[in-house]
Amino acid sequence: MSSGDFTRDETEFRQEIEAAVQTHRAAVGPCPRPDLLMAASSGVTFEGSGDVLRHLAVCPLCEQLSRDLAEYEFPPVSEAEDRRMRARWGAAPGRTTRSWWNWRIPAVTAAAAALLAGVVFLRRPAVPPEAISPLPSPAKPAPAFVLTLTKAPIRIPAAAVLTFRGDADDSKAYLADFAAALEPYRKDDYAEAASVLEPVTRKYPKTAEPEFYLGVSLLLMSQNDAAVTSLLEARRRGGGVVTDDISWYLAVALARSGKIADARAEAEHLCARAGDYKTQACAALGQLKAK
Amino acid sequence: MQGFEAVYKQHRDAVLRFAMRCVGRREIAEEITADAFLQLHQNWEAIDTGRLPAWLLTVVKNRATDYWRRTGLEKRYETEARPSPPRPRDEPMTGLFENKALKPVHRICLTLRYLQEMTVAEIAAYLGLSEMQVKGHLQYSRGLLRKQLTMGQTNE
Repeated sequence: MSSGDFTRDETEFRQEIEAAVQTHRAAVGPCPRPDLLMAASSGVTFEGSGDVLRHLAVCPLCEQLSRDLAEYEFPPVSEAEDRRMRARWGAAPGRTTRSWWNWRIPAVTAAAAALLAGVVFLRRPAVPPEAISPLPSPAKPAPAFVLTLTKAPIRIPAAAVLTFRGDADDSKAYLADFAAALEPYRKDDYAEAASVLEPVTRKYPKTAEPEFYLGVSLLLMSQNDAAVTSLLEARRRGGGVVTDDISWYLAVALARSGKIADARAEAEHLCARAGDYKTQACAALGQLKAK
Repeated sequence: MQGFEAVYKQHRDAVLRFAMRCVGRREIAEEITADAFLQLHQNWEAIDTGRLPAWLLTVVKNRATDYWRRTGLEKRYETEARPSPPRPRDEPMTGLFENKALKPVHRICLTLRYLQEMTVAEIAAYLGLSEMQVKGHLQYSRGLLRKQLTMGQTNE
């Protein structure tokens, strides 16, 4: 990976930081490649992953790089990637660009015309089955819940908010502890997230956010009843910057625990007021009513 | 009831991004993501969609483990670049690329270029950016750090 394509300006810049880089390397040794670093810190185990993690623990630059890369938004799936991936489970190329509705309207018209004419074409499907859905979607029994679960966005309270709550002395330590405990959550490792957030909830009994992310992590692991307990506790603590999030995830957790009436009450509350969850809460109400 | 199409559309970006973090190469990440959704498709009737996306991410992690096992790159790291234990007298630096005006993408480009010594093309491919964008980030970041360095020397 050694680069020989440095410009003159870059070469000068490297000379300017050379002493610092050498000191750093002498202290922590050579840094692992970023792909190995990210793999190890994402929880992938391989023969050298222990060494990589040990390096990560003593190298502030790799630790920073790992944190930055964990937050970096790699580009979403491109059209070409989407086409190739769909091809893996059998969708014919080009079919994905035709929406269900494009087929449905002429199909319904054709079916109606056939009916009126009394033609026996009804024996043949009006729409080719493969055209109805862009992907073959196997039949599946309806799930016991209706509210969609996605990962909750990360919201870290501003220090000013904590000061206002009367936690001025602890606010800095809290923010550091909370941010560190959120790392596994950020990396979608919910089991680890739950185990590191739990002590933070006990250490800072007045703050709602760790309890909220603990609840969401439990929910993402389908531990619905435990999630309800944590989310109710987060609300009892005042909600903080995640007040609306608590209501939504509580609605999801309650629905998944079979407490439909309670889930509906949460959704009604969100639907009635302006906020990030208004649209989905109102839509969920319809679903919850239908159940 | 969510169909497979809806589930795919909802989670494909997050799964691909996680796969990128696990393997660091876009084409491999794509293959692993496709594998994960293929597996989901094949087991669609048996899988509780409430376990998504965690289920998909677990598949990705397992596939990534297989990938690293196959490539043997970790061995290269072990033999060529095993970190020596920290020496007590040397303090690792913390402030080399610290500047409030630097965004994470700037720090990433700086670290990959001047510490990892990756080429601009390699960084661009890794981050999904154009080479021009990477060069722009690097130029901006060098300018900021030089200014910081100069101010530090003036204050001394």
